[in-house]
Amino acid sequence: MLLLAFTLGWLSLLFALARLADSRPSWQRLSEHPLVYAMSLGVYASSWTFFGAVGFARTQGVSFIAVSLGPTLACLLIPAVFLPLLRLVRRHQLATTADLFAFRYRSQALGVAVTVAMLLGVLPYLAVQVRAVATTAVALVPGLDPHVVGFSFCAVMLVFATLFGARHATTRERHPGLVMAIAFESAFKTLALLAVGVVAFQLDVTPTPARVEAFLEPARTGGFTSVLLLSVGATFLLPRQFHMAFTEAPEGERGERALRRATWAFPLLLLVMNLPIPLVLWAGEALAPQADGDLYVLLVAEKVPWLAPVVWLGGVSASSAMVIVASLALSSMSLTHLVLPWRRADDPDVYGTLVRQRRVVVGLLLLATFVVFLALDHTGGAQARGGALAQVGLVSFAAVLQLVPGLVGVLFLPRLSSAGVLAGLVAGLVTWGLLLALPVIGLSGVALPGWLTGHDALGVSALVSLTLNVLAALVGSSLAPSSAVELRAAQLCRDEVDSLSPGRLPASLEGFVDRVARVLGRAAARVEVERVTTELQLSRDETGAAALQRVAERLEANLTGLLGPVLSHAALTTEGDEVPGQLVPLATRLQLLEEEARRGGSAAAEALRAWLSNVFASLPVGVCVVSPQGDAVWWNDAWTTLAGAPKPEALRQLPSVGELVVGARTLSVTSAEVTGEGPLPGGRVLVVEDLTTRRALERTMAHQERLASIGRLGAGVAHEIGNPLAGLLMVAQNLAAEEHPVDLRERLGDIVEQGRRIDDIVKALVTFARGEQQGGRQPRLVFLDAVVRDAVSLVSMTKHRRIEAQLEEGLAVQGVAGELIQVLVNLLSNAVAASPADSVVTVTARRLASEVELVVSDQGEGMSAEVQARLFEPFFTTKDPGQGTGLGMSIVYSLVTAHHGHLAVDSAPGQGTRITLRFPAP
Amino acid sequence: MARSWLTFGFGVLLLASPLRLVWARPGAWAGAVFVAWAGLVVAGLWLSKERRG
Repeated sequence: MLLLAFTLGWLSLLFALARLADSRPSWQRLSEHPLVYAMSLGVYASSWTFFGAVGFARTQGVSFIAVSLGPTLACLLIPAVFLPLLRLVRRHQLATTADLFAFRYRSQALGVAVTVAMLLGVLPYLAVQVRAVATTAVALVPGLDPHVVGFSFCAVMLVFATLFGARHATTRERHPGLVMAIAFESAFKTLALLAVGVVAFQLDVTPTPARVEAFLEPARTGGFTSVLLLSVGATFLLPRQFHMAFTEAPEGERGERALRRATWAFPLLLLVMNLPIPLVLWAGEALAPQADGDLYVLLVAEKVPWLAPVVWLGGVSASSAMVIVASLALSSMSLTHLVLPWRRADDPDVYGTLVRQRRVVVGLLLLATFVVFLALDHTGGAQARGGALAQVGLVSFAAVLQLVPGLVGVLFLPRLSSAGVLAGLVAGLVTWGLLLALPVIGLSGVALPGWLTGHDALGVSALVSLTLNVLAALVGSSLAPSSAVELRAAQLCRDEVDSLSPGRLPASLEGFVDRVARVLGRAAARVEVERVTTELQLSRDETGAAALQRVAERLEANLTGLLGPVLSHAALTTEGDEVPGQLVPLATRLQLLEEEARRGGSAAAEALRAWLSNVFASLPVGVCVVSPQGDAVWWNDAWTTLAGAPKPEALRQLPSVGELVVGARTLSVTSAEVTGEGPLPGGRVLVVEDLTTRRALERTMAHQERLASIGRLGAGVAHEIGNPLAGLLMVAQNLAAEEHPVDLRERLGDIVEQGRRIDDIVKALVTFARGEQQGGRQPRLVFLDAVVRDAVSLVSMTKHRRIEAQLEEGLAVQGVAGELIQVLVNLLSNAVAASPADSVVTVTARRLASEVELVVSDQGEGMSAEVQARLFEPFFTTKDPGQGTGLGMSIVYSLVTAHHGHLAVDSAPGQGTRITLRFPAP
Repeated sequence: MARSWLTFGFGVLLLASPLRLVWARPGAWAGAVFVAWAGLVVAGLWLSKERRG
């Protein structure tokens, strides 16, 4: 009971510290200190290091050091691998390794696979933390039931995990309190271990040479190297390490600084933590040769009355920190990749649901941890072989190792595909399960033959699983290569690495000016580079790679605000290639030039002046600046073209506002006062604009409008004529049917025939007008014979030429009847107008394989090549002024195109014209 | 970046093989490993300054 109260008190202290860091800005700043960050990475040292390192050293000898030397090696890779990774996960808000893989390989399945792999790999590791707490509690207070202790620990962890981290919906939320608490417990457990080391030192035990010999054995047989390499992989890829190193890293530049500082600070922390281990081992072996090595730390601590509870708390801190961070990280993964894909989209309280689900997932994880703890206890498993904590830990590392090929793909191999990585992960995991996981939890797995493993079964098994993983990844990637989407994501990831590559940076500051000049121009480039060198307090002839790298980073940051990230990155990293000019906003360039000119840059001022005068020269209106005395002082080319060279007397005659006719041109004139600026006096600016085209356009519009109103009138009249005409025809037909003399019957027949002709014309007019009035195009099946008949009737009204129609029966196209009639009316009108009085205009239509062909041909004057070239231009006409608008053929062209058809012209002067239209068959 | 990879490679070589020769002599190992470790911490310090002027 006392132990429980003591433990709860300690955890509450940690929690109070966390609350303080969450709420007080000054504490929050402290949590972002690089050293606090490095200390928080000490969550790596779980109870495995705290209690287990000595037990591991007892059974595996010198290999215990490899577990902490691995992170030291991994930290050497921070600048090359983990800084780019930090930027990547920051930029794309990736909270876990599963997010990272799903993002890079664009595969939800891979996210699920990574989550499952991490759950399988880390759950037993969590369970041994619980067991470490239970075993040490029983050692301290004999008679306690380890299962009750284990369950209580899991329950307390659930409460604290919820309080610490599972309070937010998003996994990207930083928890300064958590970072502070973890850093504090890291410091505490290090001090506790050092204290035990001091006690062990005072016991003054010297190991026998035979013991030392046995201790060194793993270094000779290879066990040391495999543990070393396993822990390199685990340093940043274990879920809890990834969480502390990347998800909880301070924002922005501070995060990168902290990670860089960890390159040495984290290894130093581990070094200090490991210094007492050999001393404690020798002392423990002398004190209790038969006891479990995992309990030696506690055993030695008991030599000093107050130290044992402190060491117990150190162990509880190590375990609880690991359990809390790992369960937060695993819950993020599980929530994102296993739970959320099945969420309901219509949830009104998304954030609340997410927080609740997160808590449920943490609860389930801890429950599963407890179940695995019971299972481990039941089967005996690793316990039988001693060094239990380390055994399970290393198997866990081997599971995490399976992520390494995928991580290499994220940063360095864009060609590695999602299918390949998934295949590799599955192959590696299955091998891992059979060779490593099953034996360690006490079930019979598959054992490799003895000649293969030698003394280092674990290392060789891990290597075999990794080799199969890599092979499957390579084969899978070549059989199922990356999709375009995947390659784009891969490129995004590659860019983070490239941005750090000094090989792609120029050799001097002048080189930066050259590169930036491609985007900003030389003057502005020089200003930007100089600003950065001043900010960084560098000399102008700096050539050191490190300094240039810093210049590149600062320049990229400065330019990003100006040009956006893509362009600023391209400007600094690509060499030689011209940066596409259209990417640089003109406004940005102008703004830069103006700033530069304002600061007195003559080159910038000249560039601005040249640009402005170019703008004036290109104006489509004539501009002339007149001095107060009436002299023209400046004018553009358009002025000379429109109004001739500006002479003072001509300028004086110009109205200040109005219209003016010069030759065939109509010009509008406007003017405005110009105020004086500095040494330059004011004056007047005159603007002339050519109205000729506009006036012609207005006339054509008016003509069109007149024609349209006549059309509407015609349609109205036709409609009104229709009814009396039907009556007349009926009377005439009835009369014609009666008995009459031959002469009278013939005349009645003529009346009926002419009446029907009028009826045809009236109907065609109505159809045509209806098409125009309906406006909206509703394509339907249109029979060509009706279209041709209506068009011929309309054209025959105005000019009497013979129009012969030869149509195959039943031809139809998909379209709008009114528009098709208009096409034919326009074509026939032109044909008729161009034909001599006695000639024949023919319309033929036939079906081709998948098209319907309509041909209008005449025997008229034909067209020259020049006329044909401009045939479809709006307002182009060969008719006399007032006779045609020049719009007919352009309307034909646009209507035929709107019907998905195409048209061909075959004509020569004196040879007649043949216009062929083809429409898709319905 | 190349500097970082080189140091890493050197670290692996240093820790994985030649040290075994030192370990063959009883008693010398602990000192040698911890000295090598301290050496790597210094290498880390050097690397962390790589990108500063």
